[in-house]
Amino acid sequence: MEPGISHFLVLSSLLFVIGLVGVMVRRNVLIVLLSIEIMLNGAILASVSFAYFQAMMGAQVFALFLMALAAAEAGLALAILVLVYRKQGVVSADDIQLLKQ
Amino acid sequence: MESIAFYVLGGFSVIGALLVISRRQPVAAVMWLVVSILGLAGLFFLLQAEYLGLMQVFLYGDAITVIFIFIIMVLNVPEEKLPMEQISMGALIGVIFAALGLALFLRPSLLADPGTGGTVSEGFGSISALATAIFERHFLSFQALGILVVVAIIGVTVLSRKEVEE
Repeated sequence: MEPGISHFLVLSSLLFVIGLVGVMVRRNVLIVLLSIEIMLNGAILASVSFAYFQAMMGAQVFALFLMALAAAEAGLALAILVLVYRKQGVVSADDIQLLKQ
Repeated sequence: MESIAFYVLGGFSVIGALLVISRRQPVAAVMWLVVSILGLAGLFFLLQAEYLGLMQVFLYGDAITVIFIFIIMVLNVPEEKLPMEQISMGALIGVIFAALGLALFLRPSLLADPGTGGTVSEGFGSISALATAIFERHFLSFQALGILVVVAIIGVTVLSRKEVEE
């Protein structure tokens, strides 16, 4: 039996939720950023599978844009992380609370 | 045949993702992210998205993971400074709600007819087809994406420069 669109959508939502759990549970900011990448990967997989099953090229273009967005996001987030580590010396999401005070 | 490929590659990506969020050492997590990304790249080839599969390997599997490893090595966080991971009450409730939401979303998909293979024509997802779609129909969005990347580069440069003493 060939895998249909719901197989791919189930896989993509599984990836999205795994990433979401990582964002909520982990405290190491580096791992939180990696979990965001997993969530974006799930979204890209959904877009690509719609492109295939609906025969829409636009969805693949959207997936390509999502990849570029992920690269820009990773660069900016890591720059902020380096800055925070230089100033405060912590990588725990619970200890980074300068904005709260 | 396609079914076996789907389950093997999907298993790679899901197990890799699970190991990413459960590793203590960030470098090990990045390595498992590479496994997850390569599984997804194989799935893209299965979905006839050749160029996207290549970009998944080059852009995600290389560029983004190299940035992550580089930053991990620049930070050089000592072992005792890695935060204690303990599951708080709020996080537990959040995970339960995430699982409930997933079940709610997946129920119609799991009950529905999985559908048959796509009806794509020859050459769907090739580099020339994708280039035609970008430059004929989505050119303005492509330009906007270029502006976004430039803004991100400027932002990173401004953020990471050293403060000059007056």
